[in-house]
Amino acid sequence: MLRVTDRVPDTPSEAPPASPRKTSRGAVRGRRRVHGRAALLLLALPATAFFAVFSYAPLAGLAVAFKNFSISDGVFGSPWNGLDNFRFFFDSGDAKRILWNTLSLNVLFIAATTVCALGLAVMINEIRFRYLRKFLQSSVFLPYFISPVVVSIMLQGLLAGVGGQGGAVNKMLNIFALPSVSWYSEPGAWPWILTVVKVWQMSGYLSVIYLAAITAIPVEVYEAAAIDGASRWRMALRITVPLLAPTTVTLLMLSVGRIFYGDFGTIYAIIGDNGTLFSTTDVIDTYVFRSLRQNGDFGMTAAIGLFQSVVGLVFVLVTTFVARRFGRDTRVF
Amino acid sequence: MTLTDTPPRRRRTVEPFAVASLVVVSGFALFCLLPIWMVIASSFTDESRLVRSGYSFFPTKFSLASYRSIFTESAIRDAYVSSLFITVVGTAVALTATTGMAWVISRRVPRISAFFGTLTYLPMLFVGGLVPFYILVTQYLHLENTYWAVILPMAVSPFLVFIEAAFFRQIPEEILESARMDGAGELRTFVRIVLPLSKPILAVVGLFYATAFWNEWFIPLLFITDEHKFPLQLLLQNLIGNVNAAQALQTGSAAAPVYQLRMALTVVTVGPILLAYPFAQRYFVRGLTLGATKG
Amino acid sequence: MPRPTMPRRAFLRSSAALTALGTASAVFGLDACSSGSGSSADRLVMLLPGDIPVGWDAIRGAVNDRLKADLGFTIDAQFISWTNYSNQELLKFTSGERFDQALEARWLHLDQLLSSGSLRPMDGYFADKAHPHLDATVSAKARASVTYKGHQYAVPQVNYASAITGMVIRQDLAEKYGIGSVETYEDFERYLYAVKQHDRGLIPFGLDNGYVNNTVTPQPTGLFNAHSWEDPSQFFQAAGSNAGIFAMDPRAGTTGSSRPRPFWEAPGVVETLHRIRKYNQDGILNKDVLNADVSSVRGLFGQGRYAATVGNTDGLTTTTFGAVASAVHGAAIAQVVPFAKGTAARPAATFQASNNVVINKNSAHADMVMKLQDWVSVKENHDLVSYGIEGKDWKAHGDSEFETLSKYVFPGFALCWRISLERTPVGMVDSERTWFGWAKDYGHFTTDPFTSFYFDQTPVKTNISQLASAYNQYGKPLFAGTVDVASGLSKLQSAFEHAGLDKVLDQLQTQADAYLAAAKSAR
Repeated sequence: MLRVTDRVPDTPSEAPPASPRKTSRGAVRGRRRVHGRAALLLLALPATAFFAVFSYAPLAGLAVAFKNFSISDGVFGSPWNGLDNFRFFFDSGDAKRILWNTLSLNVLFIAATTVCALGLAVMINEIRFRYLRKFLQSSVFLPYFISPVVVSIMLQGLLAGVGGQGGAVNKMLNIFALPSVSWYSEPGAWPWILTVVKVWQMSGYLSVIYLAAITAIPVEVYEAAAIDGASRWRMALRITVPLLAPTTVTLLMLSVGRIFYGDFGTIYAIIGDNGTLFSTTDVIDTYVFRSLRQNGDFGMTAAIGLFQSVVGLVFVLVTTFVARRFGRDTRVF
Repeated sequence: MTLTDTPPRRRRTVEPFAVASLVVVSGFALFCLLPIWMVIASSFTDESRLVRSGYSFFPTKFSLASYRSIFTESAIRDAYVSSLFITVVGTAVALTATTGMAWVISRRVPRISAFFGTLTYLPMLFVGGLVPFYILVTQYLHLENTYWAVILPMAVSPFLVFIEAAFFRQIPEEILESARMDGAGELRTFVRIVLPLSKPILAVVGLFYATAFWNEWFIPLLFITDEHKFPLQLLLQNLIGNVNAAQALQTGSAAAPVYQLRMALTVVTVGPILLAYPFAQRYFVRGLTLGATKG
Repeated sequence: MPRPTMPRRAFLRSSAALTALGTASAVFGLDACSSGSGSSADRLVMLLPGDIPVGWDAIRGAVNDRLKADLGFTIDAQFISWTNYSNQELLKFTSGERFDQALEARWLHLDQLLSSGSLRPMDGYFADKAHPHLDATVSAKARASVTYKGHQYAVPQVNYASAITGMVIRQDLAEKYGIGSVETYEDFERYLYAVKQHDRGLIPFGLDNGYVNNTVTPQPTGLFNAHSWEDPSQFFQAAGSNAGIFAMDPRAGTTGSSRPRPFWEAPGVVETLHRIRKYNQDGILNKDVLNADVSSVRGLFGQGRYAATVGNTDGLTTTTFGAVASAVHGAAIAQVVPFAKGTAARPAATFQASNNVVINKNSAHADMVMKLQDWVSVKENHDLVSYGIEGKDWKAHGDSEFETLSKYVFPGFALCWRISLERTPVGMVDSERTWFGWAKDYGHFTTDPFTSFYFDQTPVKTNISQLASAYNQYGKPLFAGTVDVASGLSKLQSAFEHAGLDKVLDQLQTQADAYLAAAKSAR
């Protein structure tokens, strides 16, 4: 499913050349008229203004990453201190483990949510009863609205019970004559538990993007396949999924750039300050938050943020480069 | 060509994949709904029951205590109004700016598209940080205590720009070409051909923006100090944080329903956006798929 | 592909809608612009923690009317919820905002604000005796505790001389199991085990992720540190973490040499860690300490699920925990204070307040802040701000008690707590009344030699942030009893060493010795 393809899929009958990918590519390059450009600039203007003001102007503040931050001197007035702000993280001895956790958890989350979202979208599209389809589609979208704090409460109720004794999951285990597990002191299980939570939260939300993309697949492609007697399963596998590749690639490429940003909201709400679970769950963002919440040093926070950005950029460039070498187009823009 | 033109009802057999889909999606929906049901049931369950397990699947001891304390909050009406305004205006502004940029990027015009693409992409990676952002809004733009302080900083999400651009790229070029043959300019083609074809993605992106605006509490926390302009999420955030502090100074009050309140707050905030959901859903869940007309 | 049929009309409709929205928003926006948030010569801007009090509009009106008449200015209170107060006030200080006063404390950012010079000294205002009510209601001892490099920087907001972190227990259960009144640590432990033995549905002690910091190291007692119950003579220094992780030499006051050590070298500490571990394994403590928040723990105590939890001598024990009586038939609570000698104990105190009012360096109206502090030190003003409008929001019971009539609750500790002016809520249980009264008397405490020592962590801030992180990861589980003591402690020790413990100890010693020398020469 992660196959990045630029070609029209081999449907049982040669699919009609209505494939949107093929024709939208390059065919009209260089034939723009001057007023076309003006129109494009006009369309880009509002967002450009937004980025200039709210994204690029504040970047000046990144200077504080190299400053010995003092509250009264503020972000711009504090004295320079070179790379000192990076030390608290990289000298900590925990850096390697935390970088690994950040990366591996993100890969888990991205892979799991992408597969589930894509699968859901394809399958929802197969359901015939109109109202049922809409109902099920709404249902899977709902978890996105539940705040991480509430997720955390429910999870504690299910896994540990109130006061950390019991819990529905343990009761279930006991029914099958299995021993209770004290989940909140078992670091090994948590990458998977968190992944399940992410899948629950995000799959329905992301599947909406795929559903929108499915509506753009020309009906003729399916008709041709149906005439050739292809089963629904084959059509899903050979038509829908490959034609969703551009959307999938876009989503993946957007995630790659942020791969060193830990999912603070969810992880901190659920793990909190439970040090016994840090060995598998502590990510850059939670580590920085805990280390600096007392002294609130904006310089050190900015330093780590800058590190995350630069590594993200490198990842994106490398991925793009590698993909190009293998002849795959992964361009997001 | 419309779907009903081709009704070759050859096979009325049950497709295994369709059945499998129904089963799997239903299973997943159950997995999604059960916890939601837990939240709703718990929000109506008396605290004395909730403290035994932390949740409840059925309100065995029915109680409205939490809802009562939420809806007696004097600012709740103002908060709904604020949230509604921020969400509606914010979504309109955001959708306009996003769609324009997405189209420019999706066109793959030499230099222009790459330039704007990069311009949009970098903010996903590089963030100036909280302090400069705060100084910008309060000391340069002077937006504090206005709804614009919430709307403008969230007006364009690079992520959604690229999602929209990916969709635009799926629109067959020949449709655009034929419009141009008819003498339509870039802007006209965009407005008259592209936008109507893109309702599904506009609905999705609009829905995502609406959700984001509705749920936002951190930016209002930064910039809105006038309690009559607090959006709902901020008000409820405060309510949660304060549940014990308030009780500590009250004489003779009953124990605050900590668990129940959190559940009820979830229900109260999710409610309105759920009402808006079906309107958006019409566009991105295909009205009649092939499967509906063909066996 | 079906051709779009009516794009133009649809677009026209949607663009008309957009225009309408734009107009509406412009109107709203302009309207919203009219109220600025900066301070001005007749408006004092203050940052307060918590939710906006119910009925604040009316009381603010009454307060401002009176203020305007008395002092010629009004107040603009900006309430920031508890969860966000710490980061928001830091952000406002950092960005150079011109608000006038804030709630500040060591558990917020007082140390950093002092060392970076972000606060305005107040000495002048006290020297000129222009604030008689304030001078009369805030003791010199409390004021001395917020002196930094010879200047006073805060008005402590206290309703006690020193607040003791103790516990609240279910007195009905203590009676039922024949323990009677819990005074010594043995009593306390017997109580916990009796509950465990007899009440299967109850967890003997409920602890949360915040108060876990108070279980081991003395300030001046650790909750489960039996040694400190006997000898509450020391205050461990927190120095950048949330718990007292550094023990100063007990004789530092006389020798002038601080000789700080890590907490595990102090007597009674390792023994305490083992005890807590045992509590965890015996089911005395809730197992989810590290994931429990204080609201939930208090809520569970209130519902009768816990038989004891943390309760301070700040006069709020009965109101916070008394609700258990309405949930559990026959339940009664009692305040327990961790001193084996009871009210005869003379524990160490730094007299540092848990809450202070400070003046922002960028404020143009420091004089107004001080005038307001003086103004709220007058009984009727204090009562109006703290309890609301008499007869409507509250009712006096004698001179020192009150009963609430409305839901109005003001965070007085951030503006107007005064020992002599605070009314206590009616119905306070006897044990709390005893201890709250006891804690108000400065004579019941001995002054800690480091009473106004504030550690400037700038020279070692990298190490401090690593220590904080190591404490969170390895220290808290030890303090909560969720890990084995021997291996957990050795992990903590090596993490501390890696974080530069020696360097921090050196710096701490340098600054502390300098402080002692300065204090000596001042005497």
